[in-house]
Amino acid sequence: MIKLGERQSLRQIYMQWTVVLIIVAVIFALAVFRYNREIAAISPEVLLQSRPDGMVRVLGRVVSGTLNKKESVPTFHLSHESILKEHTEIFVQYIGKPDDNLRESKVLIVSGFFDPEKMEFTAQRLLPVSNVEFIVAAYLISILSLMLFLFNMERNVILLSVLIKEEKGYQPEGVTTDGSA
Amino acid sequence: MISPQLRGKLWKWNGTLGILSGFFIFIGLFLGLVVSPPDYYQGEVVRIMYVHVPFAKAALLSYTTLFLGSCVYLWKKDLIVDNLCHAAAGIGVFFTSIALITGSIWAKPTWNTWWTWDPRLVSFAILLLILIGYLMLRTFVDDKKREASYAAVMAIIGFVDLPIVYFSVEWWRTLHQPMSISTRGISIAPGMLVPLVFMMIGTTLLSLYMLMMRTQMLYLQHLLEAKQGGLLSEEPS
Repeated sequence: MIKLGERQSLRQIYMQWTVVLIIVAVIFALAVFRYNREIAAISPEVLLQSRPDGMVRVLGRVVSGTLNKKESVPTFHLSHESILKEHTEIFVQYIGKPDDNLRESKVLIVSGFFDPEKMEFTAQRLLPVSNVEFIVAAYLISILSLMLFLFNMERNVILLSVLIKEEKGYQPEGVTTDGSA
Repeated sequence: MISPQLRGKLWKWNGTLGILSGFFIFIGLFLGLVVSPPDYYQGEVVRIMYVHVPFAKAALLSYTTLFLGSCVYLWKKDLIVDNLCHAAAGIGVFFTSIALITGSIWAKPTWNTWWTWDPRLVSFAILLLILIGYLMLRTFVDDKKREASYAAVMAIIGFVDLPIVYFSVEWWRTLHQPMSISTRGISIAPGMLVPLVFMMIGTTLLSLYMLMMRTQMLYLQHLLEAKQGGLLSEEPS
């Protein structure tokens, strides 16, 4: 039976870990918020269907053979990131700083405005693919397993202390475990 | 022999270590996931660095502790030092595994492969095998003193892998990037360096905290076993 002192220690550990979980959850929520605000992108198909007015990010592949860097404003066609799928292409002109990531067949995110009348996308920034699923996997595996490992260790220390105290309490002096005096 | 007073003081400091490590890790996580900029070529995926690198360093720190502890054990034959070595090995397995897994996850989008036979990766995987071997060895021997001595010898021999892990990126042409912080200078943008430093400090403190917590756990386990064993073998008065 766990006594009051040990129960309090266990309760203290559970409370500590609740605080830790809340802080970690807040940090992850802020990261998700930042992802939605600054990184999340739509496909060219969704862009043509929704035709948004403001700044938008589009994820796609530079269609091979369409990149023209000879003009002052580089232009290219952007299609679905997967070459296996049926795709819609959009015409993009890039007005930002020269960027090494702008290459034939490269999958990237273009950030800018879409003109539905001219069917043209004016990109101000180019971003590499976010690969967010890899980041989520790495953080979940490392942080969750770290928390589990640590929590288990702290809990074990308290439970072992309880067992040791009980062992002392249940064994009167000069009495063996078989009960003989 | 470590005095009970010193042991008590060390265990008292444990709570402070835990709080400090939590503080640094939370700040590091926040800066790494929310504030720091993406890499020019790798993009957002560079954020894996903030867990991969500190965990790998913590793994090396754990093995260094294991090595030093093993040397001290063979000299002093102190049970607490043996518990510390045993604890360091367990923590080492944890950090090495996580560093390998996160490294593999990072490798896929950047190298287009989960695994490659690169010197850094292979030597690090060997480190994990040595640590697992160390823990397995500890379960094979019945006599506690012999178990501790054999394990200490194994840990000292296995230490030869550590400089190979550390300098592999300097000695051979590898796919793995060279050290970003070395005597040659710092080749990392300040916006990325700050969260990395916070995570490194936090993880170092955390590994010390875990080391003390696990040592305490193993000590209590032995104490319990001794108590139970001692009572069972007692002659009736």
